[in-house]
Amino acid sequence: MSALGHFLETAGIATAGISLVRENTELMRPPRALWVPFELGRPFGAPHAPAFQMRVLLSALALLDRTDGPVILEDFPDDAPESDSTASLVCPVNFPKPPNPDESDLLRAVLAETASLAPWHALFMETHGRSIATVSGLDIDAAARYAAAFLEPRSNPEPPEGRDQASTLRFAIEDLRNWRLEAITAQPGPKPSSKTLADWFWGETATGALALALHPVLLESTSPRLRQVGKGQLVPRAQQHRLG
Amino acid sequence: MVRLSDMTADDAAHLLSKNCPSFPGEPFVAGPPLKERRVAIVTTAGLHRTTDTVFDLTDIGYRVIPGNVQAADLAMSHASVNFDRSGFQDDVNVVFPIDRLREMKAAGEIGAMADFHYSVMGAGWEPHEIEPTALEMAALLHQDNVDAALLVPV
Repeated sequence: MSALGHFLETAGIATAGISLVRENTELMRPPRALWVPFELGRPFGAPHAPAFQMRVLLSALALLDRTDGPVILEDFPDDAPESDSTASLVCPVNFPKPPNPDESDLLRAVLAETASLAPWHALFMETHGRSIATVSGLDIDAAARYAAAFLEPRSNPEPPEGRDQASTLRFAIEDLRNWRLEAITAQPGPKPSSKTLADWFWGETATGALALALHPVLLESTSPRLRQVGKGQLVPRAQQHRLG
Repeated sequence: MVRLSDMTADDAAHLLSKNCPSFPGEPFVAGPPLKERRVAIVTTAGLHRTTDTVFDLTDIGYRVIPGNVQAADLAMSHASVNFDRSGFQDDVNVVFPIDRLREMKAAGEIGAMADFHYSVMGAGWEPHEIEPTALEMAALLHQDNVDAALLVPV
């Protein structure tokens, strides 16, 4: 982001940016930046908090009226409105997590999980009018079958036409995860925090178990791209303690 | 609240290990008051319209987001799995504040909104590698009479 600011200004476009990692912004010295103490993925603080989002936006754009640069780095003074970090979630599928799950066990559990959550996902679609679980190019059950196929010995799953095999796998897992988060957040109760949602997905769902089972398989793949997905694009660092 | 000190040690170490070259801070482009400026959003969140090509790892291109885009038309294909998506899932404005910018325009707090906004995917490349993409976007922003870019990471 800081590099973009520098290069756009070089080409005559004034910039004001949000900074999520103050230490890195201090080093890179973009012309104007507002550091915000929000979690990664939420540069304007919190969803459905329009007044708070507007304060962040106004604070960032106000830097354009400043003449005391170059290099303005301001701090936004307030933390984001909190989600409920104590809210618990209900996993609708009693998934027993067999000690050595094979592909068919996991796939059956993932498909059952999808079926169980489908009414809640339909409700999410009614209230939000959109889903972000669309990037793999596969419908949600096809995404599960595609991902589970990598657990079969000597398998070589075919991606959709025009898509790359490894990218399709990481996007399939991402779609499965996002679809579940959309469904579970449609259920009644307080809005859970992002950490609660991540812990639920990676610790409690069949799909999380599928993704964790894929990790060692991908690391042993003969495909450099699949190894790359396994190494850094499958399990978040904050959840890697779940790996065996 | 999330600061580096609130993250796992691995996440914080990863962020601090990134290559962060020091830029000179200049040029520092001046312009008219904010209420007269035409503003575009440039995001590194890997956003695009659902009909656009997804971002692949090391994809250093940009995607165009029309100013009249609707939330349902936006997708995210960022390479990193190490940030929250649930906020964006619930409300695009937590990443891409298009509705807030529309409100600022309606209130006369900015002069105009750009006809087009831009998105890149901010992972898998080194800072100097984004220069050609940035210069191409700058040329397009000039053609759109934009004189201020709001830069938004994820």
